[in-house]
Amino acid sequence: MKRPVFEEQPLSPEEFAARCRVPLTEDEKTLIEWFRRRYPTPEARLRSARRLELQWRRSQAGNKSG
Amino acid sequence: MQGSAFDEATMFASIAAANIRALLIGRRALIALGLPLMTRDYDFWIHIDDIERMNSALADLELYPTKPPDVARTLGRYVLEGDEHCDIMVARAVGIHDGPMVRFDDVWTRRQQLQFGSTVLYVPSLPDLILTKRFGSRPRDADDIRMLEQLLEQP
Repeated sequence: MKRPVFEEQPLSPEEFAARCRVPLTEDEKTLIEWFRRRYPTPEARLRSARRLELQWRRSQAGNKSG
Repeated sequence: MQGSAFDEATMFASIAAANIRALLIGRRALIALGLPLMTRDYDFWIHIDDIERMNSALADLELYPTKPPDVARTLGRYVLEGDEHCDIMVARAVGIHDGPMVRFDDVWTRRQQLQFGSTVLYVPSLPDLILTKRFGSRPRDADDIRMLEQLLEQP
């Protein structure tokens, strides 16, 4: 999961501040609310992310070998 | 890199058992607090005097340091690597543009304790986590701050 170089480059202080000020969309807010309801504890959230991460790794390994 | 030999709970338990002053930071901390994100890595900010104990605690998980402790102290960071990748920040303080020096000792004092099974892990307070996200100033750090501020409004 190598990120494009531009995503890793620091923004200027002005660009960074401007991007921080962009309000969350209603979809983003809804997704956060769903995630916190679906996984109510830190442990459940971390385990869920770990499962997804391992699934992603397996799919990447499958793509490479296929 | 299958990640199959690694156990996250064992890692957190090993860190807690060794009494390491370690803060989970980065996206993994954001996930623990309830933000729906993906990440590959673990990011910790640990006390500069706890490097040796951190290395020893995670050696059983076959995570090994990329730099000796004295070099890590000079650079302010190093990596523990094996089946997983852990970025370890060890700086005593980090400066941010137009903001305060963020000191480990202060962030540690204000930390939050999270339960993970029978063990605990520590993350910075929400305002401190926002400050750590300003260290890198990447586009995704700004996106993470937007979401963290939502948590501040609706904890």
